[in-house]
Amino acid sequence: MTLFVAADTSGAGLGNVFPMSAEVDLFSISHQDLGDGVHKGFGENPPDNNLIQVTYDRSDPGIPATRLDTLVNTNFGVNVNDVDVIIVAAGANFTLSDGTLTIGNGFTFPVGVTDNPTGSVLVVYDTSDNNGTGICVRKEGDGAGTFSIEEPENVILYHELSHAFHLANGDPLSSVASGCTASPEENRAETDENDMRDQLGLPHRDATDHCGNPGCQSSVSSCCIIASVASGSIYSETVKTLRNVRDGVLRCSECGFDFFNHLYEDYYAFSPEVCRLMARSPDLQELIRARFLVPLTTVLDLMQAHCIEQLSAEDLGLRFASRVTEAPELSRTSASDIDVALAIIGGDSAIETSTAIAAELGLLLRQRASPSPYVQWALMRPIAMILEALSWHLDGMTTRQIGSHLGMLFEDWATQMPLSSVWNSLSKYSLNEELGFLERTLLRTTESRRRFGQRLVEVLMADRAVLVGERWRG
Amino acid sequence: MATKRELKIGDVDLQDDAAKLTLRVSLQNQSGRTLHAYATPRALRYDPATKTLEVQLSDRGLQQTRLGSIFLHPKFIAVDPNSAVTLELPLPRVIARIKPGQEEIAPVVEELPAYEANRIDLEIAYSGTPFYPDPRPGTKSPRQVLIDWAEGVAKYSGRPTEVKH
Repeated sequence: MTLFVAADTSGAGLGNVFPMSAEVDLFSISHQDLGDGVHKGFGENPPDNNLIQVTYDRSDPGIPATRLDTLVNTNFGVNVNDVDVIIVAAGANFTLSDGTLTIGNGFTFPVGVTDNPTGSVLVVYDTSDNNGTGICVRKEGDGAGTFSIEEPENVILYHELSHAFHLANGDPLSSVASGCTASPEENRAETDENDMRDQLGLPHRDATDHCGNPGCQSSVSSCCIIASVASGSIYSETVKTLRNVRDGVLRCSECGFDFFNHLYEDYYAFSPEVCRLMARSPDLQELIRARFLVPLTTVLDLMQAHCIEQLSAEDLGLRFASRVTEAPELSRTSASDIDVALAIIGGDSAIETSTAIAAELGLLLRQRASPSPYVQWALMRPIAMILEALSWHLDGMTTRQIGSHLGMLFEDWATQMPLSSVWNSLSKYSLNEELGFLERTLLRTTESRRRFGQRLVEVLMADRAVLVGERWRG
Repeated sequence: MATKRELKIGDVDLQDDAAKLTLRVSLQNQSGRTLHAYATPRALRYDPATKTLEVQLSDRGLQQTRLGSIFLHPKFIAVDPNSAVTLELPLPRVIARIKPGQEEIAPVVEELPAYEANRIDLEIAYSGTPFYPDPRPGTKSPRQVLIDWAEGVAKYSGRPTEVKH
């Protein structure tokens, strides 16, 4: 008889803790178990010493109900009072010992930590649904950084009761986390949480990701801001594709992470201005979507096909032709469209752009985007490559020839990746890991590795340079 | 010469409508670049002795790891170059927390009357780039990633321009 809900309805807790909300959520965990004639089902005793004891004589066979049964009817021996776990159902105004707001979240504290003045395992969870705006987490199967499913308060409570069960049982796992990756203990609680989600008919949470966002309609970051505005949504397939390549592959390596930090620094120096221009002109928004955004996602797909899937020239050309057929923005592109697009990203003032606002965009890119080697390499050059391929297509080049030419462009482009000081900060082991990562993702051929290796050797300290030389004979 | 990338806090006013407090903060960006700032409080503290309400829109100094359902990211607001925006933060009139103690049988809740505040200590973290979570395995805690993202912290300490009780 060991699970209790904090009452405190006559003292300062009045209006600050909501024991009835906890009772409703626990009843939901029991699967609304009112008993079956033999078993009494879910219940509670009257408040005593500001605690309401939960009782449960289970008739429901479900996993959450069985876990609740164990919590209610096992004497874990956490203290001599037989009060093993206490639940505090908090309002939106609740804070922890360091001032951290509990809103939109749940916490479980073992005995003896600053946040827990009791001799019991203490669960504090928000019952305000983040003051009505909700909390969203990553759905199983979705890419990192996408928070699209809700985390209702009864699921939060069940998640915390998983921690409480393991703390009371004396078998918590490590809670050390890195980034958004769930710690072993959180991974176990999120896996348990999915049993409650099954009971409620909700989609599964990705049990490897511990991060969440306030509300499902907001994104943690202004991911690919131009792409978001031009495609109309941060959840569009285009933005998802860019985000998945970025967070699922490129930013996972040390040098990729550093590269993106440099790219963000330069990209966000001009991209908000591009968004303001698009807000003034729907025509410009369409031009950016059709001439830059669709080509960019297309070229990223083709680069992946060349570098990672290692398609032959023939197959790469066929993939290109297939993408052109699928995308009307590409199949309807004329030679003059290509000239205008190349003029804008190339800052070529000699070629007239179609409108004054497009010319303004060209000027902005010339002044604030073109000088950045990171923006040039990651965005402008890839877009230019696909525009060039489209012009070959219009000129009647065969798919095999296009595939072959594109492959050569990709190889040359890959060797020109900007190099920052991060390369010298790596240990020899990490450097070797990074070189392996580049072999798998970017530098497909011996020749491209040799050429990139030569550039790398020029910036690396001698002992690191030797390592590159040994690996790639640079 | 480029202006320093610095977010400044202008007017700060606190209104009490008897149901909640509303803190309105003017954020001023005098640089030539969009700045991105926290838009949700991460911690609240109230000192009844000095009637000071601390409103923290940053992650620094907060406990790195607790067992919890989610590591919740803050919301952010963009402040365009050479412009100002007003951030409106609804805050509770009364802050509740569990009274410190040891080996109590039941937790005791204490109330802190934030509506009596006549002084505000405010800090808001910001950066010249939006926040992106760190997907690298085996690196920093999610809170540390947020702390490291911040390029600066705008601060205000003083009486709010308007307090209605």
